[in-house]
Amino acid sequence: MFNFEITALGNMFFGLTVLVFVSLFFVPNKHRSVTLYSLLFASLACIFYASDLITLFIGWEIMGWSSYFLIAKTADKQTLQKYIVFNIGGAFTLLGAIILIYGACGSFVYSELDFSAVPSGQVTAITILLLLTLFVKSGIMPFHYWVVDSYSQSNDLFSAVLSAIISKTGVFAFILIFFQIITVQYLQTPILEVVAWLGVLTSIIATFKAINEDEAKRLLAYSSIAQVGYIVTILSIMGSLSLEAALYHTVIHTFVKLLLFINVAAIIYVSKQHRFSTLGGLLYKYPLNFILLVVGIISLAGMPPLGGFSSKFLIYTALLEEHKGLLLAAVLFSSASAFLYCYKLVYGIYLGQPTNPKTEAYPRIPLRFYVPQILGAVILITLGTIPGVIVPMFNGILGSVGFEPVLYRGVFVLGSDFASFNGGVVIGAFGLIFVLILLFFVRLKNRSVKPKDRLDISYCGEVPRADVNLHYGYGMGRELSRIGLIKMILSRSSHALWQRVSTLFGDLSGITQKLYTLSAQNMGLVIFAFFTILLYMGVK
Amino acid sequence: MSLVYFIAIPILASFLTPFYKNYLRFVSVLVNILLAGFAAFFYSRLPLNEFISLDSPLSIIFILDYVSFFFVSLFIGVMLFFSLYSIKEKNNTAVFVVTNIFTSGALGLILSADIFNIYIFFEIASISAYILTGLNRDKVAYSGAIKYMIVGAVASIFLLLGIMLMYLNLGYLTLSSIGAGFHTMDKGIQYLVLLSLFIGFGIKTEILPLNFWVADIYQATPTKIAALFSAVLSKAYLFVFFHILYTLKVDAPALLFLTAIGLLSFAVAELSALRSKDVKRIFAYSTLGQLGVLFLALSSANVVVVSGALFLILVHSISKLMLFFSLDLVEKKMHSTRVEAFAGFRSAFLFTIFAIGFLSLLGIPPFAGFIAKLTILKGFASMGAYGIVGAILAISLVEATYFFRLLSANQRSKKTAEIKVPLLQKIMLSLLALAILYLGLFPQGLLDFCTDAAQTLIQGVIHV
Amino acid sequence: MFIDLLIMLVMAYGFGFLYYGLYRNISARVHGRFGPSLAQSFYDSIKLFTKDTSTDFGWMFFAGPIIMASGAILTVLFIPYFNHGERLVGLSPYGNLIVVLYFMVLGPLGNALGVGSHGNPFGAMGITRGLTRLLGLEMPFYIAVVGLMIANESADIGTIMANQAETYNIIAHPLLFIAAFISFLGFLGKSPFDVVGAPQEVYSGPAVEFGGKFLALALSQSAIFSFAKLLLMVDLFLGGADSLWDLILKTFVLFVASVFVGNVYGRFTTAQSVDFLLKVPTVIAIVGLLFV
Repeated sequence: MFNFEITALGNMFFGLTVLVFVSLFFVPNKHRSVTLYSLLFASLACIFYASDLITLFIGWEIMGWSSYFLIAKTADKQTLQKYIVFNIGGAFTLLGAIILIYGACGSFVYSELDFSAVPSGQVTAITILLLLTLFVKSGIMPFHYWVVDSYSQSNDLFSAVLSAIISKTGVFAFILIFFQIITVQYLQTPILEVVAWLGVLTSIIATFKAINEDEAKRLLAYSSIAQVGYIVTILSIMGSLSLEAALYHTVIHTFVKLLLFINVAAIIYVSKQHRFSTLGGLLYKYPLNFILLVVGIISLAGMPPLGGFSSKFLIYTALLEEHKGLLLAAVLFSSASAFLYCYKLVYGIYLGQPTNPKTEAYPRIPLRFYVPQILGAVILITLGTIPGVIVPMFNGILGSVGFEPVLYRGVFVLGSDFASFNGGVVIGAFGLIFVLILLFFVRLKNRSVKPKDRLDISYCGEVPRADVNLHYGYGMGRELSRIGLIKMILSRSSHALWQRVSTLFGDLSGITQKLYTLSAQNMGLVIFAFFTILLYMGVK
Repeated sequence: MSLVYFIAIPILASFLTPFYKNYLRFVSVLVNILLAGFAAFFYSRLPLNEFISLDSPLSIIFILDYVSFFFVSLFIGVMLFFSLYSIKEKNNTAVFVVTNIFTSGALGLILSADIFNIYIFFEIASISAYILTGLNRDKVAYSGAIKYMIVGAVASIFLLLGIMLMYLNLGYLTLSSIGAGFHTMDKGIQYLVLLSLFIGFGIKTEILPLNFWVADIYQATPTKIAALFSAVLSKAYLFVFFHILYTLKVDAPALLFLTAIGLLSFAVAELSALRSKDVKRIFAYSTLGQLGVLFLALSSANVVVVSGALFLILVHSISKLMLFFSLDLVEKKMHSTRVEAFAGFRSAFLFTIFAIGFLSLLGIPPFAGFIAKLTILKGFASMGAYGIVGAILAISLVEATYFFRLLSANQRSKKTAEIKVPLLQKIMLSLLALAILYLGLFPQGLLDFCTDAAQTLIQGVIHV
Repeated sequence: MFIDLLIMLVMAYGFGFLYYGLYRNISARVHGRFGPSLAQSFYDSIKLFTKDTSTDFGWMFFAGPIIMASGAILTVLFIPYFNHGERLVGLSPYGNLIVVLYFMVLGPLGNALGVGSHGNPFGAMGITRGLTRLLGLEMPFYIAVVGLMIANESADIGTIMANQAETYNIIAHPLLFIAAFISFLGFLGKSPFDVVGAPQEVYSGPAVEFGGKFLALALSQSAIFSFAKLLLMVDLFLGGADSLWDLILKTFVLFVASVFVGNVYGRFTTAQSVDFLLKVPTVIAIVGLLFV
């Protein structure tokens, strides 16, 4: 029943999993459940190294329910219900697709599946079912309904796993199934177009929701949805470069989210606060954590000179090469808006004035919190400096799924004929200029004075009263809701839709339940009536 | 060795109760072990027929082929488990008296290959079931038992009608001869026979719209007994019904109708469970749902699907046994089976048992229910019936919703009582859970047997 | 190479402040005043560089402006000055248009970090406004640039310039130019999109706590950055420059155009400006993109 095969693709995803799990092992956690974590780990291995669809499905389901029990330790009932309905639903569409594939090809083994004789209608059905599965796991709208609550309510360590690894299983399955098993030639182009736009719309909407969010982990959850949205969009282009871009972004996003979730977890651990309106001003209290967060958000925003830029660059180049101008414009829009939530994250926690007077009493952050963070930061900085270093690995994956490899131009250079850049020069030039200006300034410094207290600022020529809130964390993103288009996006929610579905089923259930309380006489009546009807039908 | 022992030994054990009144529970265990020994003995001699008396119409014929062997061993296994599980209940002689009769009735029902004996054992099994329902001896139990009896009587009437019609028209009672002669009958009579059988067995196999009484009965029955109803009784009827049906070689539209009824039954039952406030009722609805699936799968006349259905029968029996028995422990502590009570207990062991049971029922790997569901779906896919595949999966999602609602209710609520599970119970329940896990990981041996059994079932009873 | 880079930097600094002086003069004339002398901006800059900021809010407060300045300088170094590709190409062979576009937001980020680290809520408010406006500004500009990149099958600025030997992009892709130009006004911080800087009337905005040499750094980077943007526009739409005079002429024309437009219109609020930018120029840019 279990069949495995070591593949380049599996190696990459499994490698990420191992790194994340090992580094998270160091993080202190109240709800550590070794059994469930090892089950989860095993199921991930099962997914990544499966060589038939049944093994994949088994891994998928075990992942689903072991995560459920991990989330269940802290999340509330509604969140759990959402999680389970969506994830089991997603798994069942996967099972449906697997059964359809079996019906069409007569096998479950990847290498034996041949779609050349399958009618296109059936392939389309399979495609749509599989897409639903992937959409649920990766949180593509409108199937993202479960994501944010689950991410934010699970314990801090598991949020990192959810965002860094579990959201990537959707990406893995997409690559596996659409690139390797079904292959491009049998896919319907319009469906891929729809997928591409769904991905990018998801990322735009999620980005604005993130900007409007007051809770750090929810912001990160929305950001995760947005980032995976890019990956889905770029995957649906189905080319060599786009696959490379998707893989690159997967790697980057894994480490960015690992870093950021653990960073926020550390802050929550020491402060017991998780809202921007109650945090702030922790910069000089936790400078190392701050710097790591800045590394994270620079990568998240995709800015040079760190790793995030490398993957964003590939995404843009891949879209440009395919002349997907509008799609690229949409990606850029979402990507540009992402600056706002990145800034909100760093400002809300570290900058400005502390809103909480007890900041002084916060304890030190345990060193163990830094293990995953530093791992992430090192990788992000490395990938910014020598962005080409993992291209050979990606080329191996591209080759194994039957795509042309991308030209490898040395460790410093990344890109294609369309455009390329030298990460070493970029980071070198930036560093040099920064250091030069710094040296110039350090010589001249020293005459300014420290502020007397937190109220010693330029405040319209007055001194602010002590009870005035000087932290702007709560207000960030308010401007946005005044803008027509964005206001429209923010006011929409899939909540009403899913709520209606839920109510509908509840009402139906109420009706059918009544049937089961019939008395014996009425039961007899029903039996005879049924008998008569069938008899009548038979006579006719 | 004779097949009659399967029926005679348990019933004898009941009748001789006065001699060992206080030790009946041990005798029951012994009886069941003995029966299990018989089953093992017969395994290498399959298939076999046994004629007790030859002159028609009163001939008694027993058949033990692959499929009836499957049900016999399932039944004996469950009863053995039940008697072992309750071995410490000293003051509950009545239960053992009736369950032994119940065993012999159900085994007779499965083994009989002539419709007259089928009717007799149908009645024996039913009557012992009515008594079991009333065992709690309170208002709810009695009203439940009476309701059960009324509905059961209606079922008997229809069954008798069908049998009468066949006998009047053909002059045989043996299944194999009826199977050979069935299509010589008038079309209208054929239809009427099938209809009567369907109504008669439909009530007993708890199929829509003949199952509106079931939830109340389950609620009235002691929880452990409800486990027996859910795990074995309904399945014995199910087997006999399809055994007769395939012997009669009914045509495709009739089977299609049964498939549709099964699907509808599944959907309505699962939907009802969605907002139910009582765990016992939820389990009852879930049983109804699973019976719907079985009905739908068994009526497919496809070897793969039917073998999957047989697998599901076994898995469902194990799961429901486990769930009802665990619920019994909860009920004893919390004095209620309401969802609120269910949410309030604290016991990591029971929680795990419930979780495994639910996951298996939902067909989620790596538990055995998954193999059953996969086999059924695979079979339907090879028939090209993708609509059914989709429907089953969609309805299973509803099922998942309420099962996980129960789990999260327990996990997220304030705990009011800690349940300490006694060692015996702990071992027995763990055994069931392990069985589910084992069958989920290494299903091949059982699947092969199920395939043989499925072939036999679809063939029907042919040779005399 | 290093000499080239130094020349580029000095030129950007010189022209940046020169144009800033001109802008003040032209605005003054439009308002019916006499402006300061052209050299005034240089004096201001050099004077401020010798002063210290009065209050010390910690190291991030200092690092912010430095990151901002680094971003501006990087931007200018990655944009080639001339279209013949021999001298003053800077680091452009190691980067491309996408890299340059991202360098352009590095500055605002550094600024945001620096401003955020002093405790003044008005600063943070200004930053939020700035980032929000940036969102609007980037949209049409990016679409226009994407159009050019697709049309030229390359993201290399040199290639895009070389392809304009026959017709300038301003003629080949007028809609893209219009859209990019509107954004460009905002990027330069000219009205109607200048509410972020809140130059006179509100005592707030990003620069609220900065003084002395940090103000000087902010001013200098802004001058350099303005010149970089002018240069980028010239490279992308006006075929680049083939001599120093050509460079001066083209940047000057573009600059004067922006000043006049800026002086005619009133000021949008942040929400209005983003709304406008997301509607009018974005739609123009998308239409232009469809033509490509």
